[in-house]
This record gives sequence, structure tokens and C-alpha cells, in this order.
Amino acid sequence: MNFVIAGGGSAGWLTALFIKKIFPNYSVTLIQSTEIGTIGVGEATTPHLPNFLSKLDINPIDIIPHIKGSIKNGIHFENWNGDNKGYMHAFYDKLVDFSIPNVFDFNCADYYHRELISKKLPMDEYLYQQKIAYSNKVDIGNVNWALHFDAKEFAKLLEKIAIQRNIKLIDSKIIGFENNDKQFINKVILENNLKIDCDFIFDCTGFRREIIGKFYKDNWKSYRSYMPMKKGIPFWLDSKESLPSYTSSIALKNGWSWQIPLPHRTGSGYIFDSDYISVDDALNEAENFYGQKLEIRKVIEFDPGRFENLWIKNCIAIGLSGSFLEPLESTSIWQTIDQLETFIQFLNVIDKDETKSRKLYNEIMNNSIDHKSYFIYLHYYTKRSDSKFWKEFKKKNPMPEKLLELYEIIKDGSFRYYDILNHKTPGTFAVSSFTQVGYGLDMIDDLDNSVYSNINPSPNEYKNIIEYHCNQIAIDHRKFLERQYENIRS
Amino acid sequence: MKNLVIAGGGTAGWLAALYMKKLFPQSNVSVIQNKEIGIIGVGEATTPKILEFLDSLDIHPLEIIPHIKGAIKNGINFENWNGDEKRYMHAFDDKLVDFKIDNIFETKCLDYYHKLLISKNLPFEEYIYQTKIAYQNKVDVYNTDWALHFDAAEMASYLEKIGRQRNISVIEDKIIGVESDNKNFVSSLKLESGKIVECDFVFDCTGFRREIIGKFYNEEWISFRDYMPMKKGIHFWLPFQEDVEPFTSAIALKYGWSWKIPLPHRIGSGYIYDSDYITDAEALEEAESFYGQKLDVRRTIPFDPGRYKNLWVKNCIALGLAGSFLEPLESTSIWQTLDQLSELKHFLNELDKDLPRNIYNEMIGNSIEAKSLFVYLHYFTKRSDTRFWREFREKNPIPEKWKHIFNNLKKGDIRFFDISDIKTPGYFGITSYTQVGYGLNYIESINVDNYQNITPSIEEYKKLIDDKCSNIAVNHTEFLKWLETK
Repeated sequence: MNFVIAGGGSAGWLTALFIKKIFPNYSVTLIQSTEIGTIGVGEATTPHLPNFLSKLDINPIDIIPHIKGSIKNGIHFENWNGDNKGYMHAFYDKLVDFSIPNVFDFNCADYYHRELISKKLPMDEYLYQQKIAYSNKVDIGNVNWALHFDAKEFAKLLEKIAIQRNIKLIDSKIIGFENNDKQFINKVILENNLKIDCDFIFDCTGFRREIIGKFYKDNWKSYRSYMPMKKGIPFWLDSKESLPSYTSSIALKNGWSWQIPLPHRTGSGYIFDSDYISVDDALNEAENFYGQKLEIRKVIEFDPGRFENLWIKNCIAIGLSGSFLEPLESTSIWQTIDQLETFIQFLNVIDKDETKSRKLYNEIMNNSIDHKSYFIYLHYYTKRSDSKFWKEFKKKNPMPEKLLELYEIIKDGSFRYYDILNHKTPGTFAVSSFTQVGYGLDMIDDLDNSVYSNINPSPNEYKNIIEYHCNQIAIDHRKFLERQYENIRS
Repeated sequence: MKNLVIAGGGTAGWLAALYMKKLFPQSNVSVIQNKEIGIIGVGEATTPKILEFLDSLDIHPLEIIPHIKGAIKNGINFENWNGDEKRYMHAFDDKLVDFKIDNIFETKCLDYYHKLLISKNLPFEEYIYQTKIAYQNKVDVYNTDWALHFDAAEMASYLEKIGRQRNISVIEDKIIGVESDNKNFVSSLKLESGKIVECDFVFDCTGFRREIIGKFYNEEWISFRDYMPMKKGIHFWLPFQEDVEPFTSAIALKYGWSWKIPLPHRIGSGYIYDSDYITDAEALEEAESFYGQKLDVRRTIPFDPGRYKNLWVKNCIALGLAGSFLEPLESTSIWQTLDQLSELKHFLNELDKDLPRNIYNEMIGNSIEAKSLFVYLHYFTKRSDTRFWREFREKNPIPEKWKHIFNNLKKGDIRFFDISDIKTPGYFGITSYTQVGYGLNYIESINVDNYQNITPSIEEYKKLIDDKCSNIAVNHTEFLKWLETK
């Protein structure tokens, strides 16, 4: 079989490496055009990426200096309720395994969260990963962490590894496709009219959507009726001396601004609802907020949503070409990984014209993207009312049907994993994500956790444990990175 | 929760009582039972879920075997379901190795191993450890998931003994009335002796009498009669065999099937059939001629396979036969009780609240239906020797919602997405479907392209199981005797 990957951004290279690992004896070719370049906004990730890299035999810590990377413990949300307060959505830590004697022998972190909420205790004091994050520290042995990186450097490094692993790289634009009588693409036509044989192709062409959109003309399912963001302006800020070990997302008048702290710069930008504000006004607002002149790197316009079928015939669309939400929860690369990991359940049908399996794959991927969009939507359900955008948000972007029921359960705190998990929805945000955001936004009403309050360790015991670890074990983020960078120099 | 009351002292009732006492050590837990009514005690074969559950109650499953006249079960042996005198086994999963497929799946590829065997048309009894040892009357309790066979009356009285030691009150009496408060929560039970038992939460474990869920709450019954064919059973015993088989047998007969549950002192048996086609007397006659001996029918049990729409109503949960009943083919009854109790752990904060029980009831409903789907599959055979078998598919058509599963299985393309769901606790896994689908010759083709590279390989694994079967697995009867001496 000949596998072709169209497009060489993060999604394209991750796909190429993954397919080569599964099919070491098949030819894997990636076609990219240096002229087109990559969009590279996916600079913040989730813990799925380090895990996925490990599976590809790429050590996620060793690569940090090569991709100008840093560590991410979670996302800090600032001023979303308009009260200048912040809250964190941190990943799970692995310091202890909570239990409730006689009830649950393990895995009770969710009940610990509920216990904190029922007692109205501050999560930044009682959750390890929040505490170290707010101290600009890291402890990669005891937490689930993710990477921040420079997307161009990341793609370059993956390209280098891929070439070592016998993935063929072609630098060219794609000008067309040939298909057989079943509508399967069997040749990719390059600029110089050279034709590449193809048995299976991945569309990783970003917003250009060369195959899924232009060739197969699949229907786009827009989330515009509830996802408010429509435009973004990325810019750079200077890097901070004390380097935060988290992404920041700061609510502004018509959207929010991100900060992705890298050692040499802070990737930033303002993403907004362009129904309310022009690009110029957005820049103006961002410059006021940051108190400095900003240089817009590009203006990105998007329609949040996904294609109805991410797998058509012998083509799967991965990354921005298949779906895009918005960067709020760093879901883009995660979604790429979900698609690849689900794909391996279907390897026996990739060369067959078998609609039943593709339908199942598409149902699963659609659920996965839809679910992520609901969680993002939840972040906008705030108490802010300082601009037309925020005042009109709930009316203009009514809560999607499927989230309505969930929202009631989040409010009364009776939220369980049954409410969100489903085998046909891979890559769902966990209960702890919903509780952190729900609690952070002050959405959760009084919560009765008395039956489960016999949690082990108790909040006070756990607080002692995390204070010890925060002081003795966790280390300063910048120091940690300097050590990694030194490792490659020596 | 001050007073937790369990109505009914069968296996379900006692397991519920011990479990609730563990969760709520400070609460009063009472079991109301009536020796006169007795227990139905057909649930004498179980699934591996019983082991972890007993463990969680600090009851050691191996140690209790001599006390409950128990034996080991490796799986279920199905005989003559295709009318060709052949047999196949639905064994539990063994734990000898963790299969993987290099570069694709790092763990848990047993189902792909099964699919690979099917694609090469290899016999499971030579290539699957637990099937192999079972057919040699051997057991290996450390390397396999096993289950228990037992005498249900002995099991209940053993659990009662432990229950009393753990301060569970036993009330020997008969329930004659149910009192409720203004929210329609059961507040007390009136007993024949005139005694009144107060209750904050009640478990209806009254078997087919369904005293509370049925008679008091009049909850709606969802019958599976449209697709589940069995309607009656006659229960009898067969004499014990010197060499105790470590598996349940289910032998297809003309109008249903006969079970055999081998215990050290007797074989529990019976014939379960579609009474639309034969009378009880004819059924007995057929069974007697099959077993070549006079049989003493202990009880005739008519039933309507199905479940209540809501198994949790107000402050009452129906467990065991009181809540649902399929038929004994896959020993699902006690498993279902355990699923219901285990899931309840997530809802402890709602026991005393007047909330809709939607999620629990949805999950338990799913759980029962998923089990019924698998039981129903067993009847998709090639038998055609009687009207019952000839008319089966037409009279009991596949429910619409499951048609794709049958299609996928037939094409050998069944995936866990098709059968499992987080809101469906206690479903049969892919390896159950592959064993039954292959055993019945229901799987027409199988496509394992790109998943061939399994580790260990078929040959390596066969070598391993031949070795373990000869050197590690031990004779079942000897193992039971050894347990007695402990």
C-alpha cells in the first residue's frame, strides 16, 4: 500500500509518523509546499501529545529544547466573570490515588473535587497541579503535563525524524487528483505533472481543505449557532522572566486573549466575535490591555465546525482540514490524536469500499468533536455583562440541546462520568474538567457530598502532602527548562 | 440512612445485605425472610463477577467452596445447538498472557486472537487455554477468570451466618403490608406477627413475588417475550458424577435446552422450553428419554422474560428475580444483582432524596437488555428438527436496534463500539460473541487484514497452553477435595 499525507503541519507529520509505525513496510509519502507554509497556531497542547509522542518513540522531554518548548500544567482563566478573578483548569495530578473506604478502593479524584466544592475550599490551595502552576513550577513525575512549543520548530523536528524513518518528503503543490471508478483517489498530481501513486490519503492541508472540501465537497457542519468566536489576530509578546507553566486565557470585551509562554517569547493573540468588533478595534483593545504596540502576524478568520464525514472513500481529513473549534482548550492536536487512535480500530477495511465501517468511524469522530465544542461553549456561560457581546451572549448563542441537560447536572453538582463518557465519543473532557470550570465560573449550586466525605486522604491531609511536594519536589519552570537546554548543549 | 431493609433472604437479598452493611456500617441493616416461602434457588451458576464481589465483602471465594457445596466453573459448554451433535464452549477469559499487536495495540488483544483463530478455522478447544482445561476437567484458578457453581440454599444460609456475625438483623416473618409517607416513599413494612419494621431504604429481593416493586408500586413490566423464546422450566436433579465437570452444560433439545450444573454431591439440572409448543408432561417425557432415567420434577417455573421499566422507584430498588429475569442460559441473574449493587455506589448521595432515578434506571435497563441480546444470540442455530427451531427466527425476530450487531457479527466485523457503552454496565465482551458466533457457525467471514502480527503468535501460545495444561492445571475433583481439607 502507498500512503500519502497531503500537508506538512503538526497534523501531517504526526499522521505520517504514526502510519509509518503501524505499516513499517509500506511506503509513506508526505507532500508539502514550503511556499504555502503552515498556519501554526496550535502551540498549546494537552497531555495526550506527550503520551502520543512516547508511542512514536519520541521522548517528549528530550525534544523540548528542539521545539523551543515549555511545560503546561493547565489553563488559567482570568476575568471570565468580570470580577478580575481567575481560576485554573489543570490536568490530573498523580500524587495520590484517592479512595473512599468501604465504597471505592481507588480513582476518587472526582469525589475529592466534589468535597472541595461542597466545603467551598479554594482549588489553588487544595489541588497539587494548580498550586505548582501558580508558583511557576513543574513536577513532571507527579502530574499529567502537556507541551507548549513553537509550531514551526515542532513541524521541523518531526520532519527530521520522519526522514530518518524513511518517510518520503516531496516539496510541491498538489494540483489535482485522479480517482478510480469507486471514487477512490489513486493518483496525486503534483505541480510538475508528476503523478504519485496513492492507496490511502490523509488530508492535512489545514484550512485549504484540498481533498475533503475541494475534491470530495463534503458538507460543512458549522457550530456558529452556539460557538461565538469568528476571528483571531495572533501576535507575540516578550517572554516573562518567571516563566508561567500554564496557558493563560484572559476574557476581554469581545472575546479573549491567549498567552502561551515559551522561553524566548510569549505567543499571544486576541480572538473575538467579529459581529461586534472590527479587526482594527480588536487590535486597539488588545494594545490597550497589554499597554504596548502589537504587531499582528496575520488575521485568521474561521467558521467553527467540522465536516459531516471526516472519512470519505480512501481519504481521512485530519487537523484543521477536518474540523476547527477555537484555541480555548487546546483541542486541535488532541483531536488529531483521537482520530489516529480511533483509526487503528479500522485497519482491516482501509483498502475496501466498505461504507458501514466508515460510517461508524465518522459517527465516533463527530461525537468527539461535538463534545469538545460543548465544553468550550460552557466557558462562555459567565456572569460578565460589560459589553454588548457578553450581555447578548446567552441569547445570541443559545446553549445546544445536548448540553442543556448536562448543564443542569453540573449546576446541582450531581455530575458523574456516565453523563459524559461514551465509547463512541473518544477524547471527552473528564469530570474534573467540568468541575474545575463549573466551580471556577461559580456555576455550581450547593453541593451535598456528605455520604462521600470520608475521602482518603482528606482535604487537610492532602493539603499537607501538596505543600511538601510544592516546596521540596516541584522545581521552577525556567530552571527546569534551562537544564533541558543545557543537556543538548553538553 | 438509619434503617436499611432487605425484603427477601435469597442469594440476592443476602448479597445486598452484606454489601449495604459494608457501605453503611453505622446503619441498621435488616433482612426479612420467610423459611416457609423458601427461595427459588435456580441461580446456582454464576460468572466471574461473583469473585471480585465476594472479595470486596471480605469473603474469600475459594475458602467458602466447601461450605456451599460449591464447584468451579470455567465456562459454559453448549451441546448440539446446531443439531449436529457437536459442542462448543463459551469460556471466561484466561489471564495467561496479554495479547498485543506490534506497533498497533500494546495491550488487550484477546479478541483479535480469537478473530485470527476464526480466520484460520482453528479449533478453540485446542487454542484457548480455559476451553482446553475445561474439557479435560481441569482448573487453574490463578491463571483464569473462573466462577462458582453452588447449592443456592447452602449459599444463602452461609451468607446469613456471615450476615449475623456482622450485625445484620434477621427477621423471620412474612411481609403483609407496605406503608408509605407523603412522597410515596416506603416508610415501614407490616409483618404477619404484627411487627412493624421502619425503613429509610428498602431492597425488594422477594423473587418472583415482587412484593414491593410489583404489588406496591405497580411498576410497569417490559416483557422481552417478542424475542426471548423460553417460557417455562422444570427443575430436577441428576445423580452426581465421580469426575465433576468444571463447566455448566447447556444442551439443546427439541423445544429449548437442558442445563447441568455439576456439584460434588449432585448435578442440578432442568429443562427450559417454549411452552407454546409442548406441555409440561411432554417436556418431562423428552427430558427423561434424553437422560435415560425417571426424573423427579422439583418445581415447574413459568416466567415472562423481561424487566421492570424502573428498577429504582422512590426509596426502593428491586434486585435479583424481583427486578428482572431472562432465563438461566448465561447465568446472568446473580451477575445482574451485582451490577445493580455496584452501580449504586455512585448514587449514595441520592438514596434519601426525592429525585428522578433516570440515570440509574437507564443504565440498569441497558445492562439487562445487553445481557438479553447475548442470550438471544444463542438461538441463531442451524437446527430445524422441530417446529420450535424451524419457526424460531420468524416467531422471534431480531429487534430493530440490534440488527446491525447481528450483521456485523456475521461478517466477522464486530467491534467493542457495537456492544459496549459506559451506560451499560455488565455487558458481554467481544470474546463472548466470537466464541458463540464461531461455535454456532454464525460467522460467515472474517477480515483480520493488518492485524495478523499478534504477540504471542498462535503457535507460541499453543505451546504455552499445552505446557500449562499438562503441568499447572489440576483435576477439578481433586482440587475440590483438597479445598475440603484446608
